[in-house]
Amino acid sequence: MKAILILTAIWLIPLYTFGLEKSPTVEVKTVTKQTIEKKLFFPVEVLSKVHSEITADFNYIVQKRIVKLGQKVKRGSPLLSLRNQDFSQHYEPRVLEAPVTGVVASIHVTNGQYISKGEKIMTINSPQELYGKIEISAVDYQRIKPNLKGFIQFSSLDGKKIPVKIKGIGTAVDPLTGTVSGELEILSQHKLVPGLIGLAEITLEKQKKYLVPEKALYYIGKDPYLAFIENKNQIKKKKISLGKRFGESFEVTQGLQENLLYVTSSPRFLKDGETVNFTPPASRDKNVKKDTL
Amino acid sequence: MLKKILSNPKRLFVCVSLIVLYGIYSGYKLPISMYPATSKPSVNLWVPYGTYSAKKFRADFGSQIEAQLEKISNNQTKIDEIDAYYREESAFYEIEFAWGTAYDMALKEVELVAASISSQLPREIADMMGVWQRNSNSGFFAASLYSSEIGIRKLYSIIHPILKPELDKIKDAENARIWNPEKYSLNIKLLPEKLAQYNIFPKTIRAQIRAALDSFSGSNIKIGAKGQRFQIQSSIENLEELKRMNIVINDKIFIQLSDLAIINYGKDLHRERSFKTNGLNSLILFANPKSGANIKTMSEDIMKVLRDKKHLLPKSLKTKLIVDPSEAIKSSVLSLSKDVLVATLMAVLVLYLFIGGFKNIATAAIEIPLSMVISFIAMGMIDMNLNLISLGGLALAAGMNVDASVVVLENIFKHKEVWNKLNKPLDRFQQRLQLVYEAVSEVALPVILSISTTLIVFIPMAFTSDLTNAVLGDLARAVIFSHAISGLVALVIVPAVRVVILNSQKEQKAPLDKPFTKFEQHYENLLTVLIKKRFKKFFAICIPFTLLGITGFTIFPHLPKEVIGKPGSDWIYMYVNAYDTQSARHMDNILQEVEKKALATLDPKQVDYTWLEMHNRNGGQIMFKMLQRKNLDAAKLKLKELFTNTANRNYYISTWNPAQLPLPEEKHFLVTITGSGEELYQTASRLKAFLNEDGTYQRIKVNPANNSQYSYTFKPDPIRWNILQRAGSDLSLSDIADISQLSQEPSKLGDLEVNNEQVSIEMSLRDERYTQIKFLENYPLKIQNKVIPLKALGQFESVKTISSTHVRDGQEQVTLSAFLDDENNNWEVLAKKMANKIKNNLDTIITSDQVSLEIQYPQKELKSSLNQLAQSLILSIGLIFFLLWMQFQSVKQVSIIMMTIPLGISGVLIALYVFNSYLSLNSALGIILLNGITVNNSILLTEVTNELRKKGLRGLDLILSATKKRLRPILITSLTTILGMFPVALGLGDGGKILQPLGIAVCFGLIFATGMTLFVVPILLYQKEKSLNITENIGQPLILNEQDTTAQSEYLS
Repeated sequence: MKAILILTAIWLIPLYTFGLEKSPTVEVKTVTKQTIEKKLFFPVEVLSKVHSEITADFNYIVQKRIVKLGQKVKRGSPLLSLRNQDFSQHYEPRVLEAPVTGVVASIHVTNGQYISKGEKIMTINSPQELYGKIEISAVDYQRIKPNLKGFIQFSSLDGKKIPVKIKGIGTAVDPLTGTVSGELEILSQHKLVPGLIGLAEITLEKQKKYLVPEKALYYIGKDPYLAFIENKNQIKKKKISLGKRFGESFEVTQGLQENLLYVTSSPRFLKDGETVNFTPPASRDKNVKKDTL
Repeated sequence: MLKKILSNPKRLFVCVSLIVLYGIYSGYKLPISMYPATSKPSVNLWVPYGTYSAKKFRADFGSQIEAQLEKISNNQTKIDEIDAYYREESAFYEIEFAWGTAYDMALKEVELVAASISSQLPREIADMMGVWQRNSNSGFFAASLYSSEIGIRKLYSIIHPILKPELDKIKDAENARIWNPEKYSLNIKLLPEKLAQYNIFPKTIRAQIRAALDSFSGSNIKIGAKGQRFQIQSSIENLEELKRMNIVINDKIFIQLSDLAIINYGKDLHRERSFKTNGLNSLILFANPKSGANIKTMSEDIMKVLRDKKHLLPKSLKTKLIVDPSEAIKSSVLSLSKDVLVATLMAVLVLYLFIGGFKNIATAAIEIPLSMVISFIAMGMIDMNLNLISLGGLALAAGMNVDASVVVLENIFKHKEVWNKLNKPLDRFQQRLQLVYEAVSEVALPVILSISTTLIVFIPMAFTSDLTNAVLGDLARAVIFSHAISGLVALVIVPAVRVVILNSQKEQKAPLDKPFTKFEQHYENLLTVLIKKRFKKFFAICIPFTLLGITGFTIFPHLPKEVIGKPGSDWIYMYVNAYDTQSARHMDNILQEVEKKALATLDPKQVDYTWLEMHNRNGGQIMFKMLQRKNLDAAKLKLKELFTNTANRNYYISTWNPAQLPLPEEKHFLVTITGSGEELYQTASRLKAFLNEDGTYQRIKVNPANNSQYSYTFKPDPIRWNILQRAGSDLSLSDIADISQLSQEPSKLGDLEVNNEQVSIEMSLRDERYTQIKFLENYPLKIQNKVIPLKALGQFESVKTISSTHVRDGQEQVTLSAFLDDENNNWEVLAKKMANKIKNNLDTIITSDQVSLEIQYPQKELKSSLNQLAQSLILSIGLIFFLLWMQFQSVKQVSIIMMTIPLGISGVLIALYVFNSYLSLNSALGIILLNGITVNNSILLTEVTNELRKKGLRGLDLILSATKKRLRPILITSLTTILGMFPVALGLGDGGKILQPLGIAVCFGLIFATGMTLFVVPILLYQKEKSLNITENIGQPLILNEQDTTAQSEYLS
């Protein structure tokens, strides 16, 4: 009799073991609020504080270009010698002088060229005195304030971050573009030139929200569900409400309780009441999520 | 007429030799393919959206395209179904044609439609459209080329110019090519900030580069007496010229392209694929056969190119065959030839054991090769091709074909015995001719009748359609031709041979003569006892039908069903899905780690080589070529235990055989939901959740999949755009879509020759940050000297959208298919239960009147095929009955003859159950075939009974004499067929598993039926005699000749 019982037990053990499907191993996270850094991005154009576009006030013939491209000039120094072609000016020669101190940024004329009144002759700016100009859309206008800090990146400078600060924000909306101009103060030494276009990242504030990764969501119809781990490692799916999207995560506005465990990924569909295996996450999730609105 | 033919055997032999030679020639010329066409011709049309959204594309072009495709049906091409899929970035049309449509006609028709559609589409869409045939039957050739000393880019540049021209000459191959996963391209990466600085958009640059790449040809210019072609070359001919190209902005400003973009000649970055053989990066030589081409010839031609050019290729180059159809065909032909040889040897053995004498067995054995070779002529006349199925038919027929010859031979020997007893000489030709003629005449009608009953069962097969005809048609035709010709051989050639070699000498005794005589005695005693039993009639009639009823109700529903068996394999296939990879390189590393781990587990002596292919950054496959098939299952099990699915890794491990017969997917549950809008997809989502929670099915597939997706939409501010346009800005919404596209996927502009290689020129945005929404919102646009973000011109929103739509017959549909694991064969029962569960919970699944749900039979092709075969079975039984009635003119006698049919069917069901085989198209065909074979024995018995009755025998003597006379030929013919089918029943060799159920059905069904026939039919014949109250022999015999008198006294003694 004993032998029969032992033999039966020996047979039953493998049957029991192999008859049951192994519990799946899943990845889990703890429900906890995550810090989100609100940021705003703007395309920024680097401009010089000194910017003088010299145009012709009369018709001229260019006799000689005195300065070269990139040459430093002082205010009042000669730039071009011209001969006036206007009868009222008696065809007198004239030397065009620099209206500002700076660097010759562009020359639009050549020796012997006839230039008409209003035509561009030359641009002088100062590469040392630069600032960033941003255009703020109506959506962001309420959030942006002076003295907020951030940085600019230029693809031509291989992503180097140049620190900036918002110096001022205009008040008039451009009817064509629907934007308000703003000025960024460039805070460090660098090799920038006027005309460069980059992308500015300005940090606004930090907020705490409940976020779940999109891959953790189950949809039944249009309703999103999360699979929570309850007593004895059993699954229970509960409906939640979603808010805004933050990259690959969603804000959860309803249905979560602090410190509950939920499944973020599993090898297959998990049924309610099913037992799962998992490695408990680290004691506190210290996720600081840097993201935008 | 027979006597006239037999009177000049030499002339006959000459004619037969010529026919055989022509048969060999016809067989040689027959095209060879892997399989017959077992799927409907299907063509795919792919159209990218360009800058259109899915919704807009569908509205503007989608309906038009569907309408034009539907108009294709004409006399030669008829469309069955058009499935349109509107996905996120492209539309995909699957056009399925009716059975019997020529593959090349189907492709041509769709190509014509595509050409007419392309004229209405924007150029960037029209240029990228693709049409191809989804022809999974044709097989393909693939070989990996690699070197341990040379990198694959350099290897490609060396071997491509040598091999490509030769590969292009292979007439049976469609686009044989060497695929380089590390193909380089000329990449133009636009700098967004530079574009903003000069206020230029990608469309302007694209148009100017394309224009610069165009070249034109004019007319002939006369120079002296000669004429020369006037040509305008493209203004860009090399990389340097491309870099220096001036882009004109607003007709005023000229900027060099190299100032607006970074231009380099480098790896195609959006190509993430890689191939590795034994860990080394490889090129792939790939070829598809043209429609109707000979795949074996194609493979052999490619191998010949590789051999012939070997001396020009690097010495370190290695080649590994991944798929070589000619090898699969050769090994299958070899395997089937072995089956034929074994069948022949078995037949010879049986003949030797029962008849004895080398001349005798040779005379019968020539039947098999003769009938096969001559049948090639018929196959050639109807443009059949040789494939695994038709070769299987020839192997099947090999054992059956010898039956007729055996019956004829046996009767010749019987007549010779009588002549010898009467001391009649056989020295002269005319005497031998007379003997043979009389013997053949006596059995001619039964032989023709039995061959006809075997063949008549195939007549209903000619009326089947679709999958049945596709899978079995070639097999049935091969059997028909071969078996019909065997009748001619048996009645003409075999007697002619005997006329020449017959002599007066006593025939050598067969080895089993004495044992057989004892067996005969025991059989007669047993039969006598049974005939005298009470209730014998009752049992004789009841047993067949009771057995049929029992097996029909108990075994039949539980037999696993499949369309056709799967062949063996020597490849293990592992697909790896990784959900946490960030790049192609990461995925590549994962695959290499998996390969290493797998090889460490498997016995290195069992693995020939491995082949690794990365498809994209989230998936790839590894294939292990095993040295021996017997190790496959154990190796597969080891890998399944080692690699289990986790949250971020999914493994699918299976065997793979490139020679596998492609068939419709075997689903176990199928639901179609029709409707529109969001509710349609939510219903599908609820149904999927319902099925998942239930847990019956291990895998559930939704088509289209992943329909709940979030995407970003840009809603332009109409006031802002109005103002912009009035201010003269030429910015448009398509520019914005263009920018978004270019940040994800390069746009092809044309081709240029670099380093003697034609490379494609591809333009994209350099800054990949613009694939992220936060950066795309802030894309810089210059409007009147201000650099503004894109979001200033409208609103970006994250919305849930339907990523892919499936349309059939103008209606949106979602299809859910569910699958059980491999070992579960109760799918029909489970499907019915699930259907009831869904019906009981319909209210929770469907919540809108706009949506309807239909539960369909998941394997309608298989069901339709089996139904057609069931109808063929019933019809064939009817035709046999009619044929036999025409001969015997007695319903009772015909009924007795056909009593073997339920016995045969019962035997088949029992055999399939015992050997754990499948009820498939092949085993169903086996049942039909068996009906024709089993009645032959009854025909022989009944025929001889009628003959002996005419000679005056009655009652028990009549029955015993008849059975004694026919026992030997019945046993010989049954044994030759059974043993001839035995190799097929064992399912050995390549392709063996495909025909195994057929072999089991015929082999074991016949064993069962023959055993029962030898008792049931004689009992019933006796009962019939009794019912006519004729039990005693009548006083005077009927008209007899001298021979008959002697024969009668022999029987009465």
